[in-house]
Amino acid sequence: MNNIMKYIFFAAIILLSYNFLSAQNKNITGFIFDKDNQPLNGANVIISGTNFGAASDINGYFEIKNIPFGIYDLEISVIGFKKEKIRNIKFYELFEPLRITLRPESVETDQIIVSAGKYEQRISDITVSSVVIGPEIFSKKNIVQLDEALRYVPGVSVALEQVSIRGSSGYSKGAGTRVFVAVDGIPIYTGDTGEIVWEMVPITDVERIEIIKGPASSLYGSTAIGGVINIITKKAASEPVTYIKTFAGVYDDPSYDEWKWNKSKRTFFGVEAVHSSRLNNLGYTFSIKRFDNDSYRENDFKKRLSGYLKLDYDIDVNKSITFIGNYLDMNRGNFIYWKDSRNALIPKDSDRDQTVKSDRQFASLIYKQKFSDTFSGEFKSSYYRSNFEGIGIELTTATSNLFRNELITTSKINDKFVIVSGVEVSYADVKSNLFSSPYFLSASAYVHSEYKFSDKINSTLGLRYDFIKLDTLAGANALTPRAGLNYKYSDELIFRTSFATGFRAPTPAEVFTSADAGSGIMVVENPNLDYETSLSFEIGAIYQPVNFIKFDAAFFNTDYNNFIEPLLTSEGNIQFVNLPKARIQGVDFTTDLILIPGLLNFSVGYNYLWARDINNNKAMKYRPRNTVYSSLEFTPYSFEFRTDLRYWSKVEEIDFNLTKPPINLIADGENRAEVIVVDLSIGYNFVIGASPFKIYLNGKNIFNYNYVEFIGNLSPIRNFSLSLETYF
Amino acid sequence: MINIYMNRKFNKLIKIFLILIIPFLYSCDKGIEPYPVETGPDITSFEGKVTFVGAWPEGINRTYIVVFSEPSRFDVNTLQYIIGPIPYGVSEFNYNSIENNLGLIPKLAAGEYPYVIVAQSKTPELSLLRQDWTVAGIYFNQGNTALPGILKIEQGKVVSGINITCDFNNPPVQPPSRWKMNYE
Repeated sequence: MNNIMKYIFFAAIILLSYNFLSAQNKNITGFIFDKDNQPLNGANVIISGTNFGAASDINGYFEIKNIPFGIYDLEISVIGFKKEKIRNIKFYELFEPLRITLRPESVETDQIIVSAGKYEQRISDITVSSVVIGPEIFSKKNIVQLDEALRYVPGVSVALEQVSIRGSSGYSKGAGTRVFVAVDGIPIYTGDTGEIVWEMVPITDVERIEIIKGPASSLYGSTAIGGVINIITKKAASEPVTYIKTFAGVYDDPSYDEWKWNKSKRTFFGVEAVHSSRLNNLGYTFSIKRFDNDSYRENDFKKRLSGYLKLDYDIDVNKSITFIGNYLDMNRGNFIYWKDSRNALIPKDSDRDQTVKSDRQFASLIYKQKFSDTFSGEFKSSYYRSNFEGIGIELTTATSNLFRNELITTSKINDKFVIVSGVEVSYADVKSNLFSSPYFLSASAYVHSEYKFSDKINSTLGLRYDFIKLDTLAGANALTPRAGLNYKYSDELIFRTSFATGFRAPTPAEVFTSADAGSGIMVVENPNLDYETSLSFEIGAIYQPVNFIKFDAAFFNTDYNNFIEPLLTSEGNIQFVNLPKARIQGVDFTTDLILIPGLLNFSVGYNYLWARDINNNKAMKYRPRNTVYSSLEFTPYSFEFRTDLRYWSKVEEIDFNLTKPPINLIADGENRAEVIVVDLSIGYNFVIGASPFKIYLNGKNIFNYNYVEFIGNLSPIRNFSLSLETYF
Repeated sequence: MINIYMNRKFNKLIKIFLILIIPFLYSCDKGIEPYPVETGPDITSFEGKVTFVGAWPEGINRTYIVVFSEPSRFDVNTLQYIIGPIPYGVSEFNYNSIENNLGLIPKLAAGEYPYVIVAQSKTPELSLLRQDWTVAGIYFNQGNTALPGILKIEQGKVVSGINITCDFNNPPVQPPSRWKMNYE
């Protein structure tokens, strides 16, 4: 802890000394108008992250006095108008008064999204359910890994580190995913287990995160059978910007004396630095991150170091090339299950002292060319190497190499008709003593079109063909069509409906894993594992009766065939098998309210899920029937207060047989409850010298509620962190 | 004047914020808890007699009374309790589920169990595979041999009279050699 405090102090000294170097002061002035060019009286103009500000007069004129020269972001707000942020205002000697136009306030509905059709569309035009989240949440909640943020998105659930959209996945210990997670459209699942290594997501460079709920195999292929999470990265800054964040935190004592296993408090800390700039046509962003977490559990530590580089080069106005490279080095304890409920923070004796070392490298290249005003192309190539090695664990090493290439073309036939088409090839090889050494090959082609019948009616139609060959398994072919309709009944009410088919090929890990799971249970391979298919339907609506309230509701139904799930077989082995039929139905409901413009926002989302294994007439495992997420944000002056609530009803079906004799792999594993987690965040924005600072105090799970997302794994107990960030 | 107005507004907003958050503060219990350490002997059990008719098959290495949670489903997913071993060649065996517990599964919880059998195996090592076992006798309620009897166990009570007859000359219907799961 002392080292952490020393570190923070040292970092603060460096930052402060830099920022006291400013010298000359002058006034920032300007005029504010509405869209009809009428001056706006009483608008607040504040330099982002500071207390410096002014209000406009009857002529719309404002004057922020005595400001040091530099580059600033301005925030302009007035009741009834959308809050505006103007970035990178160069405030020097020859500064001219600004001229700012505000638009009427409304909840955002016309955000741009690229993941629904692989080209830019407005959210109000698309035919599927979607959510877009901004990067602010990472600062506000001191989030260091993307999956933490996804836990607060309605319709998305995360069990341990496995993400699921609308109940598409239960829990399979890192083997396989049903959500296509991508960075700028390039998937980041590993070639062996097919899992998402969340530490590889460059959250310091996130512009926005687009989430498509529901099958998207017709556009993205096998892993998108449950939905898509696409992380859109930022363009490099036009002026040199350096961002630094540091944080330190501590876990509180557990609720029960039986659970105390360590005399001192468990801590975590991290630091990250990002620099972005542009040299003529070359934009660059690089970052380095260090994160150490002692964890609240024994042998559950995590130490990681990661680096990120993005280069974007504009060859000319019609051509550009982007490179993204990412590196992760991680060492962690191998906490798999608790010893029992009285020793919930201690691993099983057999897992003590086991650790896993891993390193991962990801590189991608995106070349874009605009051939004409109506035709453009994009080529994406990526390589992902994943390597992990279990220390003190028998049969736990794997190295995989995943290569992927995709060519996308976009044709705007006219104002009403757009066609996106593409071809994809990917290949993975695996060397492992856990999944043998299989290879994986896939090739696919797709076409997706959007046609606007009128200003009110928009339609989409898509089809994709995939060929997949997984080592000794017979090659599989899949055709996945999709269609959708969007109907703007009025300015306030927009309907959408879609029908989609999906398919998912088993991953090498699901087919070939052969290992001892402990307690005499073997995970055995299943070379007869078939690929799963789905047929889904959804109907939804966005209703925005007034500018400051938005409702979004959807009903969805997905029927799966050959759904792949891990199961305890009658021979007493764990094996991935095909459930002949499964059905997931549900309702999504979200609402966003601006209670007081610029000051008080509230959002709530509810999801009802009915997930059934049809043949056995049972609930599907690890899927809560009811989930609720809500957040309340209050931002007076330079303060930010936020509270989040996350609720899951008690999961009905789990692997009961693993939790009791004679298997007893997870002692007391049936001990579970509903999930009720409340987080609090308090932030303050201020300026030292010419640089804005943000400081956040975060309390997570503030009521120290004890719950599991997966059996035998107590989720993080109450913890507090203090984070400080600045840019200059 | 503006400052006073803003301060009032600010105070009002703080109150709204607190009112909205207070329900959260009182809405939670503590979630899961450590299971209590069991104290004192638990007599929840059942007892009875196994009667063997005819000559024992040769090569039998173990004979157990086995309790399953689903009717006629003999596999590890439904296995609940094992009593034994029953010595080879005996004509009668009186048992109590606690005293004669094999030890593989520490206790049998209160509840209803629709399939209680005597199973025999010839394998040198204990196996959980269905094909390594033969059902020698089934518990029936009061002579009703149409369906296996349901063993009802109440917490803190000893259920008596769970008698099973194993007639080697007239063996009972065998459950599927491999339980056909729906995924198979």
